[in-house]
Amino acid sequence: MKISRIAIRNWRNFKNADVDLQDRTFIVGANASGKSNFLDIFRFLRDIASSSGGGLQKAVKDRGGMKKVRSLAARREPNILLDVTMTDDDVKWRYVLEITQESAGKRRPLVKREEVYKGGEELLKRPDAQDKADAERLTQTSLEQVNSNVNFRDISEFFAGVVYLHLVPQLLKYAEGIQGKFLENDPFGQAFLERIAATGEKKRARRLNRIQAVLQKAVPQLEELQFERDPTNGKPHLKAKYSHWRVNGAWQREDQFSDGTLRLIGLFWVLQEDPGLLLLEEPELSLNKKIVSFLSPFIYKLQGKGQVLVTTHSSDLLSDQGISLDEVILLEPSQEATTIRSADKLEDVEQLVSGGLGLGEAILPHATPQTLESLASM
Amino acid sequence: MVKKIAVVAEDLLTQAVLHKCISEVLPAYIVARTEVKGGRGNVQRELGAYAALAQVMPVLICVDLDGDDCAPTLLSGWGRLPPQAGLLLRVAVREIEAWVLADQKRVASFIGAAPNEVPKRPDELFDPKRSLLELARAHAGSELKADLVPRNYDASYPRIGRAYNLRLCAFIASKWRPHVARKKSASLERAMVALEKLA
Repeated sequence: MKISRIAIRNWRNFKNADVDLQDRTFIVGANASGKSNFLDIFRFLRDIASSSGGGLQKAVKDRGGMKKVRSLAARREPNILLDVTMTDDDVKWRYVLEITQESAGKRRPLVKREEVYKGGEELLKRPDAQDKADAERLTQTSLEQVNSNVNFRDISEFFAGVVYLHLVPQLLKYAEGIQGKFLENDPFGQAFLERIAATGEKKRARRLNRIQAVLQKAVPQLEELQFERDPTNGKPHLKAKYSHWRVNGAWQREDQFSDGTLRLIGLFWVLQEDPGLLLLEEPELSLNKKIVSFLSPFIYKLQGKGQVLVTTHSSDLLSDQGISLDEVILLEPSQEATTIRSADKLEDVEQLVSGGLGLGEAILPHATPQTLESLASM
Repeated sequence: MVKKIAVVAEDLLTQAVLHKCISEVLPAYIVARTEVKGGRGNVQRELGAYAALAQVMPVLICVDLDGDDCAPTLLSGWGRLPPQAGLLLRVAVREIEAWVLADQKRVASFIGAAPNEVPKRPDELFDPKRSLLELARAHAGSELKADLVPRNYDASYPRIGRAYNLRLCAFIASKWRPHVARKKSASLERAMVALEKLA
């Protein structure tokens, strides 16, 4: 299953946006244009649908309440609307969720409207008679309820399976010193080693072997990558052998890996997990130019049947000439709110790339705020 | 003693081809630095810097001829070139894919076509990339075809598929033979001769 289109109203900095998504979509935009907010829509849907529970109430609460997720520009129509079209082979699904807020009392988020369509057929339309009889029901979506989502379990599972990884190497390297709180779904890779440990032995070995093959080419002197458990406390670790000054090479644990090595391992691991929808935040960070220039074909080859949404600032990543214009979407902030356009709708970009300019060079000027020149005067 | 050489390529595929040629003809050399310039214009602009570099190590530069008449016309348009012995400026006629196609047998087995389906005089092709893609479209298995050929074949952009560079660079590194290809491509032959002089 894939998300082929999403229409958004009043979600964070998006007042009103509507965009088509491809199997692989790159999201570009200036700082604070809302790239992460855009990805957060899919994490939000995951949190609602996730089997660990909590549903709509928790998903909103974890984000700081309605006033944090609702667009500041929302005035006349203050509800949040997410309208997601998905395709599964030839079957078209549509999930519509409109959220409002209780006008008094606890000010909880409420389902204003929830609809599911499969191939044009209406499977759910809320509020229904039961909702009218018991308004408390509107605090929960049908998506989160095993009893009511039986006809559209497919999309509920698809949302629940969304994976987001933005591995922050320092959180992993200094895990013991930080002793931090582990966030649900581990968005920043703090528990990344546990994730590797939880994978079956054969599958783990196969994935690490593939990663090793990439690392041997990408990381100088790296020869081998292995998983091990600490014999004293059982904690999972990764270790790599480098062909250094020692005759038999030197083994190092993950806390000594470079940031780039760890990010690369995280990226290639999560791609091989083959989630239905994978969200990657700036995969180019800490990586050298040449690896970055191969990232987009790597993602395509490893994503399998899944869909991948990637935010990026990297001209090198977008330099791959096999990226279609409709695979890149641009977020443009304006006074009121951010708009989203696909690169095939930008005539200047289309002309420039047909004239031989790299896609990154053609589109990234759109992602540079024009006020930046005045920075110099600081 | 290990000798050093620098590589400047117009794109990733060109870079892979140059590395393979060097490893075959100049086993005593290591590539000390290598860069992809993303277009001919960038190479032209930085030529002065490469000439300076060529005083300490040879610099192999390769660009595509594309739509220009011939290499001398193209280069004469670049103004007076720095007269530097170690500066090897080569032009692939008309595109690097012509050099790739010139190893007919290996290209045929890579794509899954019969060797006689592969163009015999690649330097005469007007659009070698298109010829390579045509070959893949007609003969490649579904996975390779999906990797090499863009989804919308007739669109002006993108001209290549989503894993074109990845698959072709891997092919160049593992299978492609410069000593065979040079016999079918005069522009590659000239480049190889220039490299051999460094040995």
